[in-house]
Amino acid sequence: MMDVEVIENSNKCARCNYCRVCPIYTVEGWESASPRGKLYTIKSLVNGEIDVDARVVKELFKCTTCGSCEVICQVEIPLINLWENFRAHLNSKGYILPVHKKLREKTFREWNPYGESREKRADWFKDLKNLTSTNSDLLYFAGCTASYRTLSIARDTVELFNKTGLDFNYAGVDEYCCGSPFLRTGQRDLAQKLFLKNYKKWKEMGIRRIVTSCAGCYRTIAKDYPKIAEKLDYDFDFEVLHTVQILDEIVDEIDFEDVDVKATYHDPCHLGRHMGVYEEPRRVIEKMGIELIEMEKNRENAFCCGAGGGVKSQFKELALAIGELRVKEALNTNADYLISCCPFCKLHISQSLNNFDKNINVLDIVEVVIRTLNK
Amino acid sequence: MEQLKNQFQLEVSKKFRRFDFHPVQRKLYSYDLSEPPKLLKRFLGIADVVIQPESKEEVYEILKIAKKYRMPVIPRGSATSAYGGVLPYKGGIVVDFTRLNDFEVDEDKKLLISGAGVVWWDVQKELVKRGLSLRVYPTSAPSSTVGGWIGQGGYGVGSLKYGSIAENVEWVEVVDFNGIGVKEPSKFVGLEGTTGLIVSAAIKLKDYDDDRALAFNVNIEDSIKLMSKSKAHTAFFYNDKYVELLKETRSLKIDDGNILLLTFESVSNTVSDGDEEVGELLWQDRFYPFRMRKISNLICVEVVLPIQKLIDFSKKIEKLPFIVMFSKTDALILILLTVQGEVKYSTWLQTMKLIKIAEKYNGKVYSPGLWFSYKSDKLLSNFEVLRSYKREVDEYNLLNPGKIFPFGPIHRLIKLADLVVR
Repeated sequence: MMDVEVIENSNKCARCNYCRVCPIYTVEGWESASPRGKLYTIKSLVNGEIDVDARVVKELFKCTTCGSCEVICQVEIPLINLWENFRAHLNSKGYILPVHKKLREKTFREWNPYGESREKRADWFKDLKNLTSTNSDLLYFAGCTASYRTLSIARDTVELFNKTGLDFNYAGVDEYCCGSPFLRTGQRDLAQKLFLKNYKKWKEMGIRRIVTSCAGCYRTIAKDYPKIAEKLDYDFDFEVLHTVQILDEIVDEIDFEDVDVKATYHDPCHLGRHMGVYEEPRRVIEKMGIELIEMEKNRENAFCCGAGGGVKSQFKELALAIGELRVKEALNTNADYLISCCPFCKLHISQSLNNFDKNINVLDIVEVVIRTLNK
Repeated sequence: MEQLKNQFQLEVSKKFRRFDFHPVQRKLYSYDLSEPPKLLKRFLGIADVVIQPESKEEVYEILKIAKKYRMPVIPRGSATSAYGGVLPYKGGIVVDFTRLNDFEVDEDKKLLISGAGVVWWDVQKELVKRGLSLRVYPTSAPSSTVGGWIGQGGYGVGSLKYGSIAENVEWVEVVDFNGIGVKEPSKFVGLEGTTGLIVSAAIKLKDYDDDRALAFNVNIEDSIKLMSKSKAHTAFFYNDKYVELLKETRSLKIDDGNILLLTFESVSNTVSDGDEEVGELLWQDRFYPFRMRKISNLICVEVVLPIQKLIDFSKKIEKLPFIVMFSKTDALILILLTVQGEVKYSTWLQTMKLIKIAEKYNGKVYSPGLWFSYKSDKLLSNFEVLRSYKREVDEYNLLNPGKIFPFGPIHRLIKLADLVVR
């Protein structure tokens, strides 16, 4: 049975097409790829006017859940929820895209969607072990991408905590994927399983506060976990933070080198539109003495990097085409650095840069902080 | 028949890069903003194919194929109108113009030379960077296309000073069955592509100047006086019922009662009083009339009246929320009707009743499109000239059939309903 809210909200669409700002539609240019078209598809499915087939399912999954449609929607339809709810409905009917299915299988095996060995999850941390405090109630949650792909973000975060005297704890190989890729692609059962594994470990460790480097993990743990906990009748009394929020609190106490560089900032969708964190990274960048040059689309109108919502895994070329549009915007600023606050955005934007002659250094904000600390 | 269909599909596949025959895509290119009741829906076809031409030459190729297979051709921009102009009433080839999105600016002549698929607000942002600005643009500018508005015709932001879109188009480039050519716009503006497909146009520009918006708590009589005396480029009047809705849906901090919004180019502003804060709020809101749908499904009825008849007409609709957008001589009135549940035939009868009332005050429906094509002879002063031109260039009635020039059962059904409405 489809969520009544999905049906009611898809009927509200005014069809004004202001949601043409959608990154998928920008690249693909077909109504089926636009939020308006997707809502009309859902409405037509509900009314029995069209049938589900492989193509329809594929089109409905072409969405990074970036939320730019929700920001622009005149009727204020809660579109991010709507897309996720409808994907969950499709999943419940057995419609799952092949790569998303593979991510699921890999995660059941190794507890991360990359399918990397669980035993190697904490390899980045091996020589940093002495920096943790088992007594601390503050947990550093690195997330899958920083643990397996953009390791320097995790390492620099730990170094930063150490240099600023912040006691923290780390779950090591007992850190599990937060479940974000599965919540975004409608696989709620697996997300719930991952919640339970993480939750149990955190309780064992006596954790009260969680800080993560990843925008996707941040959204999931801060916004989705309390809902899952409520559904399961668990307490969820953790304070959840993104690294940049900690940085924003302590940046005044950090001694930075004098720098003469220009940077632009890419708002990760899960940190910005999903969680409303826009000003903290900008304040940190300015406090470092870096000249910030905004891209044309910034803050709540920022253009997605193209990776989220299961798009990078299932629709590689589409994700790269979107990433390239964002890179173009960044290059137009003539900045030296493109700074972001998300390992997944960093990974994808760096890959999207491959087809350009011009270069820009893509770094996470923590990496920039570490590089500009006064030695 | 099946063989012909296969042959058609094969030919489209060979000639074009961007096309789609999938049934869901075809359905998605077969709607606009209108909500026809079930009774009318059953007479509406869906697209046989959607093609996105990437050049005017490709548009010409589409017409050649259309003629060969006797397929209707339906031009489509962003489909943000509610008159059925982009509906593939009799099926056919829906031509999505959004890929014709190049433009250039002749800064000396202050002309924008724009592809049909360029979105108004996208181009305005670029013009502003060069110190220029559109003189008029539609209230759907964030998504509607240059070709779409020219094809639809009518008024927009800036029309008080600069007139309708027709008065702001220098020339249009049109593709018909005879080829591609630059033409004088009068046989194409507001004609929904029934006399030829617009592929580009030259639009008049002005020097950029900051807008200054001021709001006044005045009734409609005083609004007309104030608006007439002013040098504003845009004037909107919001009646008290509309203001109530605005407050409810937008949480705007504004006083109850009627509001007149005047917007000036800051150099020509001669009015010193008026509320700047409320003015700016309403000005920022000019692109978002559908925000009201948040609380209830709404149908918009648009009628045009001579300004001198507006006061009397407004008394007839004072219980309904409405906005007036002023042009030099006319008032475009957008009346909102609340709909519970789905749109029924009775909702349409209500709409027609309002149009009928407007007609008693020398008013008319805003655009004929598909739904009101039976009124075209009364809405278009040169209808006979246009009809004879249509026959000349479109021998088989393939250019957007049923729009502007009545054809098929729909116009008869609506005309019948029109006769019933009192």
